[in-house]
Formats: sequence, structure tokens, C-alpha cells
Amino acid sequence: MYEEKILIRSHHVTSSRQLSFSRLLEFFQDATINRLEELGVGRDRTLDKGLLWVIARQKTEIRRMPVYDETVTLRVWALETMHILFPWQYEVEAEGEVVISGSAVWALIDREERHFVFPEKHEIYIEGERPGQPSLASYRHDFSAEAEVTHLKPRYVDLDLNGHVNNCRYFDIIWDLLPRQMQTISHPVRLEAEYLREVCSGEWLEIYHEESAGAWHFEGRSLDPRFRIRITPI
Amino acid sequence: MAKLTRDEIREKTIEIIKRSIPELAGAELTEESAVTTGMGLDSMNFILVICTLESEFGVKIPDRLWGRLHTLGQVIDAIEKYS
Repeated sequence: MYEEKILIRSHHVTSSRQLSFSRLLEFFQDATINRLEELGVGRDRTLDKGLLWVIARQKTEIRRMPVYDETVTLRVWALETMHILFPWQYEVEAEGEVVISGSAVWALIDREERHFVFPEKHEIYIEGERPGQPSLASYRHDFSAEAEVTHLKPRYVDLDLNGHVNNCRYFDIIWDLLPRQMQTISHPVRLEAEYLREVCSGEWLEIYHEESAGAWHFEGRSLDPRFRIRITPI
Repeated sequence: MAKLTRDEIREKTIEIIKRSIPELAGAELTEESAVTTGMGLDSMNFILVICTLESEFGVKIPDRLWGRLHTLGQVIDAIEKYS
């Protein structure tokens, strides 16, 4: 298990002084990369050999969002590998209690062919550090005719070293589309994301979004669905 | 645990596929139904389904067979063979 203490600084938070959700996911991604290095399957075994880590699914439950100047403890550990999928579990502890827990499913792709790769072929093995299995069940929201549609082209700075929009940036995009009262997390919420296809430089996105039965639904499309995000009060 | 019959494998496989891919929830799936578009980045649903099937049936379908799974019947064949 990887553990790190993090002081929430001014550039991590929004105007409400809460840690921004995209920054939280960046913490998770950074911690996972650090854990991969510790487990011996870091950059020299992946990125430097043309293999890129991508995220397929994410699920996060927030009971309280950390705030500016607070020190939190972030933990990440690997769950049992599912053939080509690498599930990870996360938690954030603040003031002695777990305030955020989450999971993510990672996979490896070939940088040139943009195809998923079988990790064993590249001698990439990760042992599960604790029991557990993430939910891989998918969901789909059927948007009503009244759903709003926002058109946008991701910015150059939204692309990461994989050459596509970084998963965290989708949350910056959809956060702008949330009503003001939802932008600050004042009640426990669950955020689920499915990343279906990458969005590359120059591609336009249509973001469908609406509230339905208390949950907020987002779907980014560029002809076909690219990502889905659901925010549900818990 | 008793070995599952082909009918039981088919029934459970269809249930898992429908749970994993909501677009197929109302579809009538037969052994001839297409299930894959390969290993491309647009194939995440297929990959999640196969990994879920492996986990639920306690099998591991060899890497070399993944590219040959084009129909539900072929997926069931593989589960049957390696369980």
C-alpha cells in the first residue's frame, strides 16, 4: 500500500476553499503512478517502452471534501488484476476518519497502435494487495429531449502525455456545467465515470447533461459516446 | 462446485453481458450474436465483459483466443473449455 500525507494548498482548491474534484483525481493518479514505481512496473517498464496507462472506470464516494490548509492522508492499493484490467482502491483520511473512498480500473495500451495490450506479454504483473473487486457494471442514461447540450473543443492544455484529454479534465469540463449549488460539495455524493473512447486534439465534444431523479448525468459525445459521468447524492 | 452445463453458462453469460452493457439490456442474444470489435480503444465494453466473465466463472481465457471471440457462442465455448 502506498501512503502519502498531503497539505491542501491554495492551487488545489476552488473559490469555496474545497479541494477541487479534478485535483483529487490527480492525487489519485499521482499516487497510483508512485505505487507502480514501488511495485517495479514504473515508467521504465511502461511509458519508456511505448505502453500507456489509461483509466476505464472510476467511482468515488465523498462524505466530506477536504479544505484549504488541511492535511490529509491518501492511501492507494492494488486489487487483484483481472486479466488485462488493473483495479485500484483509494481512500483519503482527514481528522481520523475516512472522508473519501474510491476505485479505478486501469489498463495498458500500445502508444502507436492505440490498442489494449495483454500485460503478461510485457511481463507486467501486479499482485493484489488487499481482497476486493471493483464493480465493472456499466450504466446508461437515456437523455430526455429537454437535456442541455454544450459544444466545446478541449483545450491544448487538457491533453496529457498520452496525447488525449486527461480523465481529470472531464471533471473540470462538467463542473462548469453544474448549477452553482452543486459546485460545492455540501452533502455526501458518489461520482461515477466511464471512459469509453479517448478524445484527441482538435475533436469537438457535445456534452449532454441533465438532472434526473436527483442525479446529474453527463455524456460526452463526438459522433459516438466518449465518456459518461453520473453524480448521485448518497 | 458442480460443472455448469452449457445452458447454464449461456444463461449466466447473457445476464452478465446485459448487466455490463446497458445498450444490450433489451436485446435478444443468441449464440450467433456478435460480441466484439477486437482490442481497439473502442472495445472497452467488450474487455470489461470478458474480464467480468472470467472473474465470475473463475476461468482465464488465454490471450491468443481473445482475437477469435466474435460471437456469444465462441465466448461460451471458451468458458466451457477452460472451466
